[in-house]
Amino acid sequence: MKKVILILSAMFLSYALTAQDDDLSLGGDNDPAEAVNEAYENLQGYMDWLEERRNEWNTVQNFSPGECSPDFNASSGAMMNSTCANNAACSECYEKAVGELNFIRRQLGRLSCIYSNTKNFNESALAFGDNMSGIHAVTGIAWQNERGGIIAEFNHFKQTYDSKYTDMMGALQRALQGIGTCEQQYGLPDWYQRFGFIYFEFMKDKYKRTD
Amino acid sequence: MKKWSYLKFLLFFLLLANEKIKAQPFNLDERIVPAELQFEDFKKEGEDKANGRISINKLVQENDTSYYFIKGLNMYSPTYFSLNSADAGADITVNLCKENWHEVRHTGEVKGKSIWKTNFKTEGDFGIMVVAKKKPASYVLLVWTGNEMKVDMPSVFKNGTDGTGSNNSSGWFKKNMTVIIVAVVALLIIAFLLIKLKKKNP
Repeated sequence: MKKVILILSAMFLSYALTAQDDDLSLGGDNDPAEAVNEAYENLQGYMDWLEERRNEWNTVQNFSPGECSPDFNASSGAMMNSTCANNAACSECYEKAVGELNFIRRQLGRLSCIYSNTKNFNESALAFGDNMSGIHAVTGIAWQNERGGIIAEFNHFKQTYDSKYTDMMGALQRALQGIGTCEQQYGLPDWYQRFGFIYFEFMKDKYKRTD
Repeated sequence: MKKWSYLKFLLFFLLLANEKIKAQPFNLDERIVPAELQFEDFKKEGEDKANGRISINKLVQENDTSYYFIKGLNMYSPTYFSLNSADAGADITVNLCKENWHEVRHTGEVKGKSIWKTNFKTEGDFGIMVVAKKKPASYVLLVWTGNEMKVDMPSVFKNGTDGTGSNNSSGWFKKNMTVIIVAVVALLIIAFLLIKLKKKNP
């Protein structure tokens, strides 16, 4: 029994010494704590830079030059009239409704970019695979299987986009009807039929998947 | 908009990000198995600008090239990346990739005790390839992403207002107020001088 305890103690001691050695090897000239501090200090510098540009999303560069950036412009024909600008009571009602509309616009822009980026990623992956399969360890047959899988997954992604597009169009219509309610109270009674509807149709077209 | 609607959209984008066919640069080489870096919440008391998520990793690299990826990024949020070493003998090249490991979108070098950093915005994920010319290489790899920034959106109303009357209501006038005031004062001075001149030479 004493022997077993002695062996176990020796094993524990040698393990503890090894662990201590590992810790020691990270200290001295190559101190990870120093590197961590430096990383945080530089991050703080970036945050200070960013603080001055908190509202300037466009000043932050895209990761890749060809990466999708949402286009929030509307054609002049789809732009809407508003009678609210100089009416304080109406402005209060509008603030919430327009906030909702802009929130949906942002999400639609993001959804469209996710679709476009995913499509580009897949096309690039297929082209890369087609080029590399001949010279790489992956055989032609194995690549063909993988290729089929990528196409099938992308088709599934298209369905997800379509379903989300439908949801978001519902949300957009509700936001526009909210503006219509404000107009009904303070300005144009048939605002949605005259202006909101045209903008809604424009947005439906703009974000509809065409491929 | 009700809070649950925002949450519903947020949840949807999280799910969509996961559904994206490959959550890392495309690769056919089975030997390349990128390790996923994990974000955790990051907050600093009294500093709203710091709020977001961070992934800070102290790493020791024994092989020539290591591959990592990080996901869950939002195109409306700023993202910051840095790699630094406290090792005087460090000789490291870092490549940031998106589509595949051959198409490098950002690249930098860390030689000795130094740092390489960059910032950008992107949606979804990106890959990090670290090539160490001297091994073992010890370094700190940091990725921080902030909360969504305010995105300026053009008005959808014909008169250029957002309908609330809170901004842009007299946009052109506000923007050019100084020029208008200077022009009016200049006109007044010219008119005054002309009148004086006429009085002198009737």
